[in-house]
Amino acid sequence: MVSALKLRSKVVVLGDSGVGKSAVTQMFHSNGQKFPKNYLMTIGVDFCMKPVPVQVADESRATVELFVFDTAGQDLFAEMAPHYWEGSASLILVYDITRAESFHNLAEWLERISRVVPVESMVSGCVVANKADLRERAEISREAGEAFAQRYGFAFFEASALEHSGIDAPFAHVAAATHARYTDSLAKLTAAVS
Amino acid sequence: MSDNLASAENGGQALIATSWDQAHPPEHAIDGDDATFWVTTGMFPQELVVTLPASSAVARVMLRSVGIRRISIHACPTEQPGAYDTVLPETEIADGAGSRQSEVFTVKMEAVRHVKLVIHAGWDHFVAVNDIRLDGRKLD
Repeated sequence: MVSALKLRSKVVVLGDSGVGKSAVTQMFHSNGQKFPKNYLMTIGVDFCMKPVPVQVADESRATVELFVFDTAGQDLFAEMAPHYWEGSASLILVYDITRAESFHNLAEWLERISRVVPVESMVSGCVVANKADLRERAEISREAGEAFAQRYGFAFFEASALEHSGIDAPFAHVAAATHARYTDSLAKLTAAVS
Repeated sequence: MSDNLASAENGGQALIATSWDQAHPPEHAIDGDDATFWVTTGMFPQELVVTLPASSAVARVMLRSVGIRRISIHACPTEQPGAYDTVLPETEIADGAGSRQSEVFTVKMEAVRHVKLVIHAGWDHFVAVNDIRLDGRKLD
């Protein structure tokens, strides 16, 4: 019997307070069952793990266990958060399309995490434009979001945690990128000794 | 007379590890073949335990690897693995730019049954342990 390959990856979710980081994370983790009805500010960090299957070319199976760290967006916790960012391999930046400021602050979030983990060393990055259900109140266009993501080589996703749409895509992207990086690393590790 | 007590030939076993890819299992770290390796499958720390065939004194640990950044080594004297003593505190290894690392650590393990390697960080997301040698002698 061929046993499935199981990879692990640490993912951090970043963005301003109130953009829906916890809603995105919890809807992903609960398969859309747990939208937080009342806003509860994250104190320090929330953590969850979910296995995500990835498509592999041959008949073998692979799963990536995503260890997701949803750190507080409030400045109050600015000193604690970097501690939880150490060792992260992927990054999910979240902004609220109805609050331009939350989009403009993404560069600041990138700078903050870069002091802990160089972004260029990461496996993957995503930009999530959340609250797509409030499109008529949008202050930031999809094109602006895409352009920002492209500048850093990140993938761009529109999502609505409320409607559970587009939530799984960024996490599936991270899982697929992790598997691709592992395959690439194996080739390098094999080449290093031959 | 000093032997490589980790080698499968001499009764060494690598049964406990925090990563498992069936193409690169922990046994590959003690099979004496540099071309094979145990690979970590994501996140740190990662641990690998080498179990010796009998209580032994070990003076040197030789490690061939790719991509390890920080490592520590721990020893357990009891037959059932329990509490470990640190014999090499967390130590940084130079990168080698993706090529093989070859390290020799002088340690003092007077009566050891299990040797645990803890990889605290890597220079990349996934690292390889090609060969572990434990130089020492079995105690009578």
